[in-house]
Amino acid sequence: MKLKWALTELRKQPNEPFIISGEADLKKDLMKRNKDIIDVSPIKISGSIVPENMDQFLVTATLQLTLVLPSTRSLTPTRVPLELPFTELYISPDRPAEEAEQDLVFHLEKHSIDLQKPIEDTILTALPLKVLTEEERKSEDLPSGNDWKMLSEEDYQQKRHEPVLSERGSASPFAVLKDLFPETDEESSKN
Amino acid sequence: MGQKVNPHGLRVGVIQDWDAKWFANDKDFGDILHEDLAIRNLIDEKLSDASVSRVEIERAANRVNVSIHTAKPGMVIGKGGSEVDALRNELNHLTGKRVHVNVIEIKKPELDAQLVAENIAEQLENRIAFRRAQKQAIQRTMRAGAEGIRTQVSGRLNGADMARTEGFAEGTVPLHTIRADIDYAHVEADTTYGKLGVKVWISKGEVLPEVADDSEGGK
Repeated sequence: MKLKWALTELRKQPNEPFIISGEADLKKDLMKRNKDIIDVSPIKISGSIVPENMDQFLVTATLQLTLVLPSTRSLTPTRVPLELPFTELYISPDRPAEEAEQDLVFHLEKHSIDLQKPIEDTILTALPLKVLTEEERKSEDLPSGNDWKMLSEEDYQQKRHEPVLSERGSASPFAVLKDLFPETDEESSKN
Repeated sequence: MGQKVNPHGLRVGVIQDWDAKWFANDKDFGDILHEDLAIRNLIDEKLSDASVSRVEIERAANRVNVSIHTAKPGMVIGKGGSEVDALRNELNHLTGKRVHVNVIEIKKPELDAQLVAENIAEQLENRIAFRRAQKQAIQRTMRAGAEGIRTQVSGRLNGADMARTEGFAEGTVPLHTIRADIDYAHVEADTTYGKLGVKVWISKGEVLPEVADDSEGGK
């Protein structure tokens, strides 16, 4: 699918939306820019470009794709479907660049709109920070090993706040100090 | 220019906890403090790509408990625990003590200032427009349930000749309210034009005081 249009082409029908629809394959570029991405499906793009006052262009579209990312818990490849809104305003190179210094308005350097980089940027900024497989989402079993343990935040907080039981079985706040001077305890028991 | 206090430092002991918990007498204090710094440096170096937000160190007798808060526990643990075992061995060797490692999975990484700042910095390094990176981070954090967020990027933005600072905010971030749970982080992004500083403040709402427990052995 074509992702670049000359401004003259968009201006042919002023105030009429220029429909964009189709599939774009940006797999190679996305994987080059982010090493965590394992696979990317072709991106379904549907939306429009509306020329406003002949020198600014409002692009609104929806991006649909499926990414394969490593699970953040087990590194297992996991499919992540994404549906992203894409809205950006571009102003023509004839207008001063300072006008684009507020908010999300982009000043075009050439007399054309190229959506490839903005679409790539939108996908890369939307990559989820936490990816779990279906089983990991349902399961509450977390791995552990020799002198290491994985905990959820809730379990960790609960563990920190639960009182340590002393030998007599009472919840003394000083019971945690039991192991502080083991040698002294042994000596005093001998005496 | 106003003088800014680190929001975390201002709240330690009131609504936020210490990152290191141990007691030592004057003779040992310096050595243990340097050991803590060495542990943190080793973890920073070895787990630089593992989205580590905080490292807590607790000590009791000849034992050290290291709790690593991370959004990517898979990278800390490795296949079958290989990475965490290697890390634990290195920590045992470094300290000469028995080290226990807790890997704590962060439930909502979008509400963690360190991870959000690292994410923005990574995007800047990937040549994503600084406004787009900040706006996206703000939207994501607000959607995750934050009360407010403020982001700031400083340096040669978009490769401009003159360095400047630009920031965005949404919601409320009451820095003067001590009971407001505000997370703060500062991260640097290495771009082709030099370093960019990224600062993030996230407000997660107010922490209400707990009712005092009058019973014997209470808090």
